[in-house]
Amino acid sequence: MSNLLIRNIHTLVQAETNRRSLVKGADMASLPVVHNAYLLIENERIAAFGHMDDCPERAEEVIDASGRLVLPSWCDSHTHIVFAATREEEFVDRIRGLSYEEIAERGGGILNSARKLQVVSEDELFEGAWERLQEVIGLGTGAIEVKSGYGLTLESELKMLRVVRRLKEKSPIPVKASFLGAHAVPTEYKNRREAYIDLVINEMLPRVAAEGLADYCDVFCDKGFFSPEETERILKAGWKWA
Amino acid sequence: MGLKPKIHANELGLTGGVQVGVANNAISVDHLEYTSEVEIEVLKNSDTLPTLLPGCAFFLGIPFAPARQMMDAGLPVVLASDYNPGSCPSGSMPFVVSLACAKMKMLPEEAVNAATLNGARAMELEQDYGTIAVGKIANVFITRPMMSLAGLPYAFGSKVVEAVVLGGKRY
Repeated sequence: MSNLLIRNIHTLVQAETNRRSLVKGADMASLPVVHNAYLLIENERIAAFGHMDDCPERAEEVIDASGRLVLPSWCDSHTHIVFAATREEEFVDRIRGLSYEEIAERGGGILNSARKLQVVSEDELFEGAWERLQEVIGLGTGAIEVKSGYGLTLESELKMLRVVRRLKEKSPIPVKASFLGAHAVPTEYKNRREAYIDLVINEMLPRVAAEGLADYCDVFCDKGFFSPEETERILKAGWKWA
Repeated sequence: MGLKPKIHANELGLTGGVQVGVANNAISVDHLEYTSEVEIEVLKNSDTLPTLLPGCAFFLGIPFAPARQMMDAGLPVVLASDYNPGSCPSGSMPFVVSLACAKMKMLPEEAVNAATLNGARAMELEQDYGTIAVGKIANVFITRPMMSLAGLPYAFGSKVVEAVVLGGKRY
């Protein structure tokens, strides 16, 4: 058994004896804390915590956290860290006065990301996403959700989700995958959006489900993207797949 | 069992996204920069979680979601990064928490609850992650020296996370 002791913690934050599964409303202002605390970890799990008066005397590894806080890692439930290239040029366009929607209408935005992603290999995509994952872990993230949605073709959506699967396999933190085929209507479907929605429902979703590539089904429901009615069709189709 | 919905809603307008998410038992409806009393009422009668992404509102210059009104109405609030190349090219959760406090008037305690336990719940990981509890996976971080919890969102943009422990091992 390996163990790690963090001692002399100024404040141990979000340390609960009575487990909660969700905090709502006025309760959100209460955060259980222990001042002058220790935290004992055995193997990979939390074994004990409490006031320094009750701190175990020794452990294989000891960290002194004097003057410092200890928190549970952030749980980041919404990201798109698999992408082929940055969009710095659009940032400058927005500084000059264009809106996000105007940029999208000109073929920028999500469609720009999709064009770039289609010509990048799965390995290159993985490397980029892996670097971003390392970066956010260093900023305290300890669980993460990652979406597809820059593929917008059957092959590219599957490519993205396979990258997410590789992240899951290699990552030291849990990774959840969301299928976001309905992130935007691709240019070639501009005048026949129904056909794209059919592609998402009849071709993408069954493959994604068959290969077990996603935990959730996402849709960008908003003006200029997918209507509530279109969203509902896709979500109902998603519910059918185990 | 199927692929549970988890959708983007109400980022660009009052477009019915929250309603369709709730009607289809979405685990969460995310963004909600445009949220009226109607959407809050719909969420109150559901298990769907409102997930707010203040990094996106910051970077696009759109309104911040009404976190305060949501909590005052008794709703849970989740915070996430929205790390992506267009509308939020940062995955910094410390910055998200700072924005939540400075721009959405969330107390530091509220923002930490939203970015830890409630975030875990929005990924169905709350049994093993999101709080420090005996038996949970030991994913924790140690801050740089600070006087109180408020020191975390206060020092926006600074390197506040000094060390990371994942599964009991220093990372």
